[in-house]
Amino acid sequence: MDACPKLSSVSTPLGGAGASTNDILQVRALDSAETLADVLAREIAKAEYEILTASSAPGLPQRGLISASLRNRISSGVQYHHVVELHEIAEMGLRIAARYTATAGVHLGVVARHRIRDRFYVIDDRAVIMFSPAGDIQGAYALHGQLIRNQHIIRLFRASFTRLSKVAIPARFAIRLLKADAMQQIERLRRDLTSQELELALCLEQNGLRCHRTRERFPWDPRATKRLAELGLAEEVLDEAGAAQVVFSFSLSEDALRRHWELEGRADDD
Amino acid sequence: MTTSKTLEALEEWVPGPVAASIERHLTERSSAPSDRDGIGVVFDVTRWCNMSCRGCAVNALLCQDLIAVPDLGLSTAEIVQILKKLHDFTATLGGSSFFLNFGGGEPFLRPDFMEILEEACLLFGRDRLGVDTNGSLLSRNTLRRLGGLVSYIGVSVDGPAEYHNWWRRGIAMSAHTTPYDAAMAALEAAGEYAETHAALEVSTVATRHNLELIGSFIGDLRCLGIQRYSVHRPMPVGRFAAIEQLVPSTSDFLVLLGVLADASADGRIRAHLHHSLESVFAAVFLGAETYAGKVLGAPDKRSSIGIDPAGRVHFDPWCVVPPWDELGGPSLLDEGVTLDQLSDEGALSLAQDYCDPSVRCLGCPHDCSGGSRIAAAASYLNRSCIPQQEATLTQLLHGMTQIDPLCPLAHEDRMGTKAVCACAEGDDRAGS
Repeated sequence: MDACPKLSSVSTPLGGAGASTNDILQVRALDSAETLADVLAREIAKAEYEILTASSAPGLPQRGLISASLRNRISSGVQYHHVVELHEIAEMGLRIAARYTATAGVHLGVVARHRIRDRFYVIDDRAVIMFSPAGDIQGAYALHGQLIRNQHIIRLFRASFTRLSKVAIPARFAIRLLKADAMQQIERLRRDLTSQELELALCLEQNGLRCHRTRERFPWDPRATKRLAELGLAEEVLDEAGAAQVVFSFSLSEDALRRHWELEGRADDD
Repeated sequence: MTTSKTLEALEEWVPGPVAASIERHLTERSSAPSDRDGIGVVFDVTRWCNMSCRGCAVNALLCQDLIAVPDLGLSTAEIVQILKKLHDFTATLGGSSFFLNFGGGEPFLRPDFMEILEEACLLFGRDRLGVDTNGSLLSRNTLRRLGGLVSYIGVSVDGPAEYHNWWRRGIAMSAHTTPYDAAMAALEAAGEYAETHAALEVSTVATRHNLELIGSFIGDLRCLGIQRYSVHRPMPVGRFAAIEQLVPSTSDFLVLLGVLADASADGRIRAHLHHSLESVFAAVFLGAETYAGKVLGAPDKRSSIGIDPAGRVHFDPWCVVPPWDELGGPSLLDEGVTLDQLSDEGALSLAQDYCDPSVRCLGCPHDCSGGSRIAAAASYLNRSCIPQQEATLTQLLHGMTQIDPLCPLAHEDRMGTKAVCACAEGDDRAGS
């Protein structure tokens, strides 16, 4: 605030008797993507029994560190409850999503697009790491946030996660239907596809956004992706860096998935 | 800090003589011991009101049938149960002071309200009790007894007759009595009862429409012998959220503060502005320390927690309406719920947590209360075009880290350069 010399000359900076009196801050602002990622990785590393999250935290730096922390805790028996929106499964890729859900201790649920309005992690009922919202865009978030240790607020986030997970469809069910849907689409168009287009479609379906990364050295012919988009097998999304990428375009709607779940899945699940 | 520097900074906002009045007033206010230090509780004992103010921040429901209030909500016994829990809690506070203020709606719509006050007086004593009312239902009998039960009687009158009746939507008390007439008659009648009269404080919610009327209104109050007067900042929650454009500017409030300071100069009436604004102004212009993080419920020593008409506990009395009530705790009537437990869990300390200097006002480094976290959050929602009703938990909590929109540091200074600190430019720290 020193841009205003007159005001700053009379207003006292903190540091005296009035400085923060919270020995352990109940709320801490995480001002940058680096701080947010660092605190998230550290808090995950301290998890003892449970992590709830309504975010995949894309776009954060130190993704490797966060993932390693997470894997370590899951392998130590920590239960990881994760809710994502349906389109995130497509971005993840069915092979990767299936492998993920097969991991002991991972509970992945799927909800419809825009259903997740807040992005956060609840760790052991001990801490919440929330991503700050980005303006008025529903579900959009910024790469800064808050670390919250206030038990009352932690309870509110837990309740919010519980509401979300109650309407979530288990990912293994969604993946099975998406797989069938993809195969049906590809089969229908197989005769129209070149071998490279077919290979690309399968790669997108299996590996999601990672398909492009594995192909960085030997990029796909742009005509192939354009052709898949024209046939309705691929669609453009923005990746975590904000760059346009293509992912497999499933024809299964969120409503259809929910209907299937109500008819078959829930009974199987019971 | 020197007086000349304070005056110089204030003169960027108001003319010299007004600046001197404000400096004197803020110096006195920030150094005087508050009679409300410690824990304050605002207990809204009914949702119903016999008026329908345009900017009611608690969304009170209109009830014109004074004989049969549709649904009282909590019974007398339930309210007494809550009072006993409050009393148990005060026993854990050690030396901290405690003040319980009843509000609503209009508390005197409850036929049992005097009985409730009597119970409260037995538990806490008169000096720890107060009530806020629109003054329209205060009979002589009530006025006679009231001063013996409470030490503070806040009567809300929003300005001279025409404005007050417009703000209250002109709802008549009877064929010949307007809301203004009723309130002023009660204030006049209170003069006959010394204890009641001494406990009176008239309060006004400032809007862009009544700012210029307040000076002459204080004159009217002087004629009635009123000794205390306060101007509340309009909180853009509840019905006021829809008319946020009526919130006066920082500059307006500073000019008004000058009016209040001048009115107080001869000592016949003590007038002041809402604590969340005076504390910010005192910090910014005087360099006074108005951050006091160890005070429960709020950092600036004069705020309160709230209990709504269902008995739910809120960290701020302005949080009893959606979406703010999402941040609230359970009802004190729920089995096993105590204030002690809610305090341990942090349900009462959210204002304190979000006023921590590292968090509030985007980490502004000045030794200040931070003003109102609710005003800061409401302003953020408005700036981001997020309808309050649709705000999510993270939007509310993010909003609470923003700058009180009435802080002078959040505005362009009078020299043409930005007085906004680097961190205050926009609300994004790192972008998305």
